[in-house]
Amino acid sequence: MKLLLLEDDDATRVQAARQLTAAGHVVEACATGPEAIFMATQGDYGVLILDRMVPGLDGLSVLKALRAAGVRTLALLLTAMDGIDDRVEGLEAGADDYLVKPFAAAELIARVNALSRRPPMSDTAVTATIGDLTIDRVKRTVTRAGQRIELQAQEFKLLDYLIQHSGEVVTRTMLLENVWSFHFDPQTNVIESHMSRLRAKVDRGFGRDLIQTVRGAGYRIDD
Amino acid sequence: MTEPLQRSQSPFRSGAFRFALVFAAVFAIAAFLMLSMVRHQIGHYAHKAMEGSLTSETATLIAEEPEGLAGEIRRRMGATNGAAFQYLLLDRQGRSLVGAIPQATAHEGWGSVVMREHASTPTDPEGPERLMTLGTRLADGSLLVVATDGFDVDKVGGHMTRFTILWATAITLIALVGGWMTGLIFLRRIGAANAAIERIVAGRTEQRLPMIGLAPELDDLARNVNRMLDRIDGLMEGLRQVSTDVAHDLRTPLTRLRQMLEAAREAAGREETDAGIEIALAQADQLLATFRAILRLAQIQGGGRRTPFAPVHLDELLRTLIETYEPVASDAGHLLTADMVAGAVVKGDADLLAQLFANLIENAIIHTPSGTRVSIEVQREGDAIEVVVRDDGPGVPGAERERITRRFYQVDPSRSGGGSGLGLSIASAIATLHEAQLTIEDALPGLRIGVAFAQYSGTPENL
Repeated sequence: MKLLLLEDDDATRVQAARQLTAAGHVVEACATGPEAIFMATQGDYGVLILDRMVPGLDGLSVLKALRAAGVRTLALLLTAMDGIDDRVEGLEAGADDYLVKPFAAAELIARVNALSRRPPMSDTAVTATIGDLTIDRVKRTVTRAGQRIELQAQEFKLLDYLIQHSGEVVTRTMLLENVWSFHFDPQTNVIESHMSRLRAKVDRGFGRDLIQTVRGAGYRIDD
Repeated sequence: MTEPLQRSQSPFRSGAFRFALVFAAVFAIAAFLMLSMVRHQIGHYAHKAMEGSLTSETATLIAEEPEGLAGEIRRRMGATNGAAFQYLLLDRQGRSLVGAIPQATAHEGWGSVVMREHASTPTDPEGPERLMTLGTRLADGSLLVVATDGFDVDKVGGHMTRFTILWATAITLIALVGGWMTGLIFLRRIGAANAAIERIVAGRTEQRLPMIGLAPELDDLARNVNRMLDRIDGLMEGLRQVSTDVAHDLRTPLTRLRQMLEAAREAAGREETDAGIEIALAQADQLLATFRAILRLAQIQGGGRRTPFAPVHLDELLRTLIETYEPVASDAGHLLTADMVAGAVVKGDADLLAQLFANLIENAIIHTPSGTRVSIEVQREGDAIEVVVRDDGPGVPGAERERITRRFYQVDPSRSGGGSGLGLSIASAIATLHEAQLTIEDALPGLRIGVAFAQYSGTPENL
């Protein structure tokens, strides 16, 4: 997929572009707001990755300008600011996701992938199937190999999120933000505790594990 | 140092002087308007009075026998007690029988005439006398004209004009001198305040503005600026403290990280190197998390911009948190219980409140040994709602309880369980932001942390 990267810091720009390229994307990078606006309106990009703190015309203004001009390309804001207001402001300006610096390469790649394959809300079907596991979002039921699996509310949300991004890596931060609405780093193993319980119910005794741990990155559900 | 703050100003350019100018102008205009109005009113009244007196004098004379009328007029003209009227009597053929006013006035009805013989003199600058006349045709065909200058409107008007101009000028001058003096005093006082600001800018941040005086609102301004300076001073002190803490407390994990990387470099096999790098990465992540926490703490403490507070149902929020932490607690061998009253609503930021209670719950799990019970209670007393996180662990000694909300403060580093040492500082900052009271007490055994809020008393449809 073709990505546009706006980042004024040379080292960060080169490094991020290299990592995204290694993950199979085509990256076109620029260092100033006006360049980003020009490129985004001319080129056909899958995702725009915009650094919020760029001297002059910053990422937020670039995004607002693009949205005002009718550019609907998915956008991911990078920022060193981690206030709740900053995030809300970013999302209100039309960002589809928001990543706080400094971040691991795996985190950036996972989020870009998640964004690029984000199903429109209307496409989230009532039921989804991964291998022999089926989830019904209306009845809130999960079955595997014909057996009903009882899940707690948060376990259900966790599984649902994994399934919405099946085949992709989802990071801890993505899970914290989207399943728990936590915008801070817990000091305890919240994700791990819930994940181990979910695995015990979904995978244990079924021969094949659907939920996999991706070392140094996060989790993935795959058949 | 940028351009100096104080510009020496002339009192004529001061605000006070400009005010004085404006007031002087307003006064002059008002005086002019008032004078015009008074003159008009007096003129109108005098005119009516003259008409009245002429009508009654004429009626009195007509009541005389016609043959005695000329004699009566002569008698009246001869009277010395300030003759208010002058007369003219013409026979049927228009010949003057008696009287001293010009023939020009010899017609029926109202009229006026100027007596030229009354030339203007220094004592009477009004010049010629203006008379008002009333001519009446009598039954025998003769014409009686009565005239009066009974009320010299013009003279009074002239006096009033002179009087007003004199006073308006005097008061304008007084206003200008007063304005200049006030401006001078004002500039001196402001100058003292500016000098204080100069000193603050130069780095003497303990300096404060003197009271400006002259007006309570100016003193309020000085007081508010001083309060602002106190606040900035406090924030600066906090910043200095954070820098020191950060420099001091991050040295240890950074040193550890360095050692791990060194060990990884010197490791014998590829596997060992990879394992070393893995540990170093985890360590780096921990450091980054600490930095994020420091930034977050600074943001919360700074207040600044934030999303507007909205009603938050504490029991719902806590129930979700308990569901989140129950597996964590049981993995650590702890028991998490809840006892909550329904309908506890406070005004706040749900995200921040979630972090506040998550930090308290995590602390209770991290810093107590396996087998500890952690309970979360919501109590209501009158208009106050208190959320209590209680454990029956080893507790915190009395002297330490004062200090555990400080940044990086750890009661027993060996028991820290990987915490950043910022959890309680952040909790305390969030409580402060919500004007809630955070109390740390001995639970005998264990620790009791309470956060007391004011119950939100909005209308139900807001919720």
